[in-house]
This record gives sequence, C-alpha cells and structure tokens, in this order.
Amino acid sequence: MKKIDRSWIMPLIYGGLFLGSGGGGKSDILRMALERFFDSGKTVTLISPDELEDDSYYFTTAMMGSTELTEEYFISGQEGVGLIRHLSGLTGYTPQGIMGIEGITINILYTMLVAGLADLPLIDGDSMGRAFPELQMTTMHLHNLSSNPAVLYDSSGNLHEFHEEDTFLLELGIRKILFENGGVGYFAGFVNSGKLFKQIIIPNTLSFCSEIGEAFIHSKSSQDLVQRLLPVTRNSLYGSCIQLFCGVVQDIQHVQKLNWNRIHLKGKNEFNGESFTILVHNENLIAFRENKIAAMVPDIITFVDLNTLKPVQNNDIYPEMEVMVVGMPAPLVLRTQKALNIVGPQCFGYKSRYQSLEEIYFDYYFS
Amino acid sequence: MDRKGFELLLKKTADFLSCSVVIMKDGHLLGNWGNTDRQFAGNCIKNFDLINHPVIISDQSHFLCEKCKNKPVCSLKREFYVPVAGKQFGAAFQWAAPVVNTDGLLSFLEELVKSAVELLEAVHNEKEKEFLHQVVCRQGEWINRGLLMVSAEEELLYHNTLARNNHMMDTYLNSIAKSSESHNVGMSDVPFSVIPIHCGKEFMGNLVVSQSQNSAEAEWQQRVQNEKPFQYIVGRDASLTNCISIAEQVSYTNSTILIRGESGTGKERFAYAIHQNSYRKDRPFVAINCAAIPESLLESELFGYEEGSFTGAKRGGKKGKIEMADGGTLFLDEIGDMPPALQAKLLRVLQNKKIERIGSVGSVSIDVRIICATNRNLEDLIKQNRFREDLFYRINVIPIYLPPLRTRYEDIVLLLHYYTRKYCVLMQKDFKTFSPELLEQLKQYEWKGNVRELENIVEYSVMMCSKDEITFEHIPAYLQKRFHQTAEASPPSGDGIKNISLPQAKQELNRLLEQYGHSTEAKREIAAHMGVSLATLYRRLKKYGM
Repeated sequence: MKKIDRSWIMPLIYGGLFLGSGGGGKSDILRMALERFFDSGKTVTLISPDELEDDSYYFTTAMMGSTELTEEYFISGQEGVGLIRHLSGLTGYTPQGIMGIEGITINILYTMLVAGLADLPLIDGDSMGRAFPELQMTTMHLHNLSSNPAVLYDSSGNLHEFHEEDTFLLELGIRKILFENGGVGYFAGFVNSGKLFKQIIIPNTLSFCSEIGEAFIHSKSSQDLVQRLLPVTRNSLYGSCIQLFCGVVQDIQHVQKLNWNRIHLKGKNEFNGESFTILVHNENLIAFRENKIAAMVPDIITFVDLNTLKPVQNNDIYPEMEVMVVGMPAPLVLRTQKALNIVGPQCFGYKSRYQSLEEIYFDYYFS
Repeated sequence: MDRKGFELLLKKTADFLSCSVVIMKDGHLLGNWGNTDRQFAGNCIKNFDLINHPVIISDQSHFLCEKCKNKPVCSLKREFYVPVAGKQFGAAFQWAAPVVNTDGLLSFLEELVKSAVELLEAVHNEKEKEFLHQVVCRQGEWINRGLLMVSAEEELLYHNTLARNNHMMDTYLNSIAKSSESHNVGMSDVPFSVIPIHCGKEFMGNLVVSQSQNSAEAEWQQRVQNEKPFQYIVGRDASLTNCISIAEQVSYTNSTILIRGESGTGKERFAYAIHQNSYRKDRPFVAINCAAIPESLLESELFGYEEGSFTGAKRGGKKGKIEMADGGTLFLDEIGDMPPALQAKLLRVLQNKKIERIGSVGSVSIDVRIICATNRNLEDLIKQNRFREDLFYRINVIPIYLPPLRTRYEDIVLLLHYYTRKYCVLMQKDFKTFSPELLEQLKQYEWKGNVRELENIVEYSVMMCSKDEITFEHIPAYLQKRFHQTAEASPPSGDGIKNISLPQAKQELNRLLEQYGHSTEAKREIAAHMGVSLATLYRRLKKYGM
C-alpha cells in the first residue's frame, strides 16, 4: 500500500508514453485536474494486486475513443465517479478499489483521478500492460471473463448500459455510440472479485511506469537514458529495453485505405547508412531494420525524441526529427499462443509469425 | 645478393652517378637512395602510366614536364624514367646538376632497375603479408564470431579467442566439411561456415566462421560488453542490490574479495561481473573449482610445473591457472575445500605476488586479482583447524554475502519469468505463463538450490509443457511430491490463529509485527511465515483493529 501524491504525475506521464508504444493521447487536462486534486491535500492509495481481498469486488474504468479528440473535452473525473456509482447500483457490489484497463498515460491518469475523487484505492496493475486499440485486447477477454454489465458516458453526457457477455460485442456497441456522439467516452465495467482479478491482472504496471518515467526525467544523454532504463526494465515482468535504432525521420507515409502509417528513418551515429521503418496502426506495431524484422507487437516499440530525451507518440513525429527507437518485450501473458491470437501481429493484418525481441536479439538478452 | 646488399649497390650507384634513385609502385614510394627530393619524385613518378619504355628528360620541354604542376619550381636537370614492363613499377633517376656523359648509362640502369624491382617487390609482399596478418589478428577479436584460418594441410594459421574457447578447431577437424567447397555446418553448439580460399586454381585453405550471431546481435553483444555488467544480474531485492552496490565499488580496486553464499546463488556470475567491471576486463578471467579437482592435481593446476618435475610432466612444463590469469582475475571457487598444504602456498602468493612452479628453483612475479567464493562456514573450519586463519584474513578483505533466493521474495517471480523467456526461445517454443496456483506455491518454496534450482525447474517445465500455461503436471516429480505433501500437511501456523482466542491471535500478530516490522515487505514476510496470502493478513489486521 502506497500513497500517491503530486510527485507521481510527471513520471507516470512519461512512463505511460513509453508503454503507450506510440499511442496515447493528450494528457494536459488530466494533469491539471490531478494537480488540483493533490493540491487540495488529498492523496490516492495505491494497492498491489497481492493486497486485493478474495471476496471483495473491484471495478475497472477507462477513457475510450479517439486520442486526438481528448483535449477537446473538459474532463473532470466526476463522469467516472458517476459511472462507478451507477455500476455499483447495477451489480449490487460496493467496489473496494479501481483498476485501469490500459497502461498508457491518459488512462493511467484518468483512473487515478477517478479513484481519488471516489476515495477508492487504485490497483497497481492493468489488463493490457501497454496500449491496445480494442477492449478485447485485454487479459479479461483472454481469460473469458464476462463484460456484463458495463456502463458508458458519451461526450454529450448520455449514460449507456451494456449487457453483453462477449467483449467484442461490447466493443462494437461502444464504438457505434462513440462514432455517433463525439468520438470520446468514459467507461466502467468488468466487475470482478479480488480472487479473480489477482489471477488476470498484469501486476505493478503503475509502479513500473513511474520508475520508467523517473529514468526519463533524470537522464542526461541517450546513452544515460538507456543505462537508467536497463535495470528498471530488466527487473520487471517485461524484460530489458533495447535501443533498436537511432536516426532522423525521413518521411511519414499514410496509407489511408488500410489505416496504416509508415515512418521511415535514416540512421545516424552507429546506425549511419542504415534505414529503419515502423508500421503504425494507432500504435507502433512492426519495425524493420534494413528490411529485416527488428521488433513486433505485442512487444513495445517507442520513439524517444533525442532533443528532449522524452518518449513521444507517433502523432508527434515529424520529418527531420532526431529520434531513438527503443524496444521492450511485453509481459509473458501477452505473448502466449492464445494471447498472440488476440494481440499478435496477425490481429492487425500483418500475416507473419510473431518474432520476439528475445528471439531476434538472443545474445543481448541471455548472454 | 640479399636485400641489404642490393640497397648498398643502389646507394653506391646513386653516389657514383651523383643522382637520386626512386623506386615506386602505384604512385607509392618503395625505396629511395641519394638526395631524393620526395616532393618532385612523387610528382614525376605519377606519370609512369603514360610511358612504357625508358625515357630521358633533358629539359622541361618534355611532355611529362608539361603536365607537372611543379614545373615552375622544379630544380631537376635530368631524369631517367625506367618502367618495368607488365608491372606498375618503375624507377626514376634524378639529377639536380647537368649530366655530361650518359653513354651506355641507360641500358645499365634499365638492368639495375629490373633487379631492384624484383627484390623490392618480394620485400614489399612480405611486409604486406605481415601487415595483413596483424590486421586479421586484431580484427579477429572484434567480430564476435569464432574465426579460424586453416591451411590446405590442415595446419591452424590463426584462431581468435572465441574460436579457442569454443574448441572450434577440434569441431572443425572432426567435421566432414573440410573440402574446398563452401559449407554451412550445423553443429549442436558451434554452427559454422567453411569458406574455401583459392589463389588462382590452387586451394590455399579454409576460413571457418561460427554462425551464431547475426550482425544486429553481434553489435548488441559488443554493446553489452561495453555496458555495466551488473545491470545484467536479475533481481531488485534490497539485499541483492546492496551486494551489487558493494561489488561495483570494489571492482575498480585490486582488493581480494570473498563472496559467500549458498550454493546456486550466483557467486561465479558475480565474480565475473566484478572482473568485467574492472580495468582487467580485457585480460583473462580464470575460474577454478577447488572442490572439483583431486587434491593431488590441484597444486599443479594452480601453480604449474617445470619440465621433468614429476613422472608424466609435459615437456616444456606447464603454466598454472594463477600464471594464466596474469594481468586478469583468478576466481577460486569453493576455497573452503582447498587442502591445508595449498592454503599455505596460496597465502605466500597473496603476500608476495610471486609464484613458484612445481620443480622450479625461481619464482615469477604475477599481477592477479583474486576473488574467492565459498558456501562453507569458514569460521567453523578455522575452529576445526581445516582452514588457515591467516589465509582467511588475507582473503576476507572485502566480504560479500549473497542472499539466498528464499529471502528474495520479490525476485522469485522475476527470475521465473526471465528463465521462462530464455528457455522458450532456446527451445523454440511458444511463450508460457505459470498457473496462479503453481506460482503461489513456487513463491512459498524454500529454494534450497537457489537460482540454479529455479533455472533447472523452469528449463524442465518449459520442455515438458506444450500448452500456454505451466501447471503442477509440468514440474519435476520431486517438486510435485513436495507440493502435494505441503497441501496434505497440517494447516500452517497462521491458520491456527483461526482456532485460538482473539487476544491470543492479536498477541501473536503483534509479536510478528515487532519481529518483522510494519512495512509492506515485512507484512509479506509475515504472511509467508503464517502461510497465508497478504490479503488475508490485511483482513486479519483489520479484523483485530491493528
């Protein structure tokens, strides 16, 4: 059990951007809302999954929709509090804590804000361990947990109830509403017992995210950053990060019909004369170095701006920008054969076998 | 005539003719005699490709001078250019003063140049060969692959350290792929490529390159070697990180280190990390297990011997491990098992920094950093007169106590995941997770064999499991039996709290809190002690208002 205060915000922002694997969303409004919350003298209690009580119930919350539109709405956190109250009424369970669904900045901060306002403990973990675009790409779906009931506020403030047992049907229902109502919504659902949550949570992602963020905050050079990230990532359920490439953004191509983007880099320093390509579909999914696979989803592939030494979303990449590309293995639970059927490269349309970072760089990982 | 004699002849010729002689190849100076003006020589000689027969330049109206940028400042009065047919060689004879009589001189110089060029070419080739050999020797250590150069007669011409460590020459000689065609040989541990080298039609030998790493891996391997080696020890437990911190600090010094810890805690890995983090990292790291070598052989293994010092001694003698580690680090594992007689000899090495080979009358100075390790209680061995007290104090300069795995509660899961990733990739299997029930049991297990036992269990389980989840059925039988017994055993002491009165239970919890502390980590240890989950412990603390 830990107390989260204002000092956690910036590390979580950078750590969340790193885990976001190029995805994310604008977090300024959430940051300000949280600063106001902490400045009023309040804190958020962070509990580890070990501390969940078997027979108590816990809820999940998330912001959903277009990450590009998140800045256009005023987010107070009270939507989430309202949703939890409503869900509690629907299920008859009083939540003993809240967990985020996705391990990226915007959803980490949002869940933290809701937990703080609802005066409920925040669970140190989530169900994606990184960013993914769909609800079925969660450990809840992986373990066939029911998504009934779930609730959603659309951006116009309308409350919607869902009673789908299947996560994909829930996803379709939510997408339809978001498409018709401003593209952004607030979600609560996946009510489960502590005993069940303990088995499906990817644990300690918030603490991990904060440690990663600290490494970004204190780094003095790109090599210093890698040196700081290495012990943090190696001693986690993920695995050591690896510098995949260092170069200058040459061009960004949009393949509109397929909703894929392609970012080309030209190497510099030790990668001079080499090319690097990243295929983007919301998140950074596949990386190629000299036309050979360098990393694949669900492993994390993140851009680091070499001028600021901070992680950046793929939306913020521009030609001539100097970047380092860092990879990190995803937790094992996201890389079993069953999980790869849900979050592997084939699920995004790349019809090829998943090659893990450990397989590609075996000696680096296990020398 | 040898090279020196010929050079003397050229010098005398230059003196006698009052000229300078320059011999070039492809615009580069091979040799010069007399008062050569190198600037002009270099310029003039570039024109060799324009002529194919001897030329005499008597004034600057010659077409070669027309093209020369030094023409305005050139002080040469007469030059003979003598190209050698069929080769990019030639010589220039240059006079700074007018030459009166050149009759017959040209044909003499032509013959002289032919001889000179042949001799110098041979010398140049020899130098080039030596240069290339040096390049191979230096670059061979950088490529991160095993590299062998083997002559057509199967004589080893060169091998790098990696090839030597992997015994590639033996593997190569035992393989079928020694013919003069290119091969990829997939040996179980050292796959390599055989590239035949030909000179014209003649087969000169083979270049043998191990295949284990692609370019990206090799690059990362290099980078790994440049990075901090301690970052590659898995674990975030405070007791372990404290050891790492001490080891990092002392790695830069020459102080003797004693690493203590149970079997399987990673003592050798730690010692190697210390070596890699020191200025000695480019010198040898020699490890010897004092318990694994028979007492009668240990002395000769450690100290080496002179020729004829005992029956069966090799001709020319043999270097001992201590001598082999000169400039580097000597790791003496299981030092507690070293025989008393050798302890005295080792003590002298530590004190004097000198060793005496068996049968030698003199001693050799050595510069070795010694790291010792043991899982024995040396203090007890001293009491039993089985370990010398003076040696103990000599090696116990910097003691490092590696914690047993069972006390590194948080690291158990990290290590399980680390080795699962490793063996899934090694065995080319899909990644797997542990079932929650098994994971809980593994977290509570005492791990008497420490990290080594954990790694073995993971390797076994990954091999036996063909599903996504490793469960009880996939772990070794002894562990299955153990967990089965645990489940059947009487309820752990913690559950006993249910059966005792409330004040007694509260008193027991209070006692444990006082013993372990109030932090989350302490509560985790209390929960482990009671045999209940952390959540149950919290619930009870809440119930008793604590």
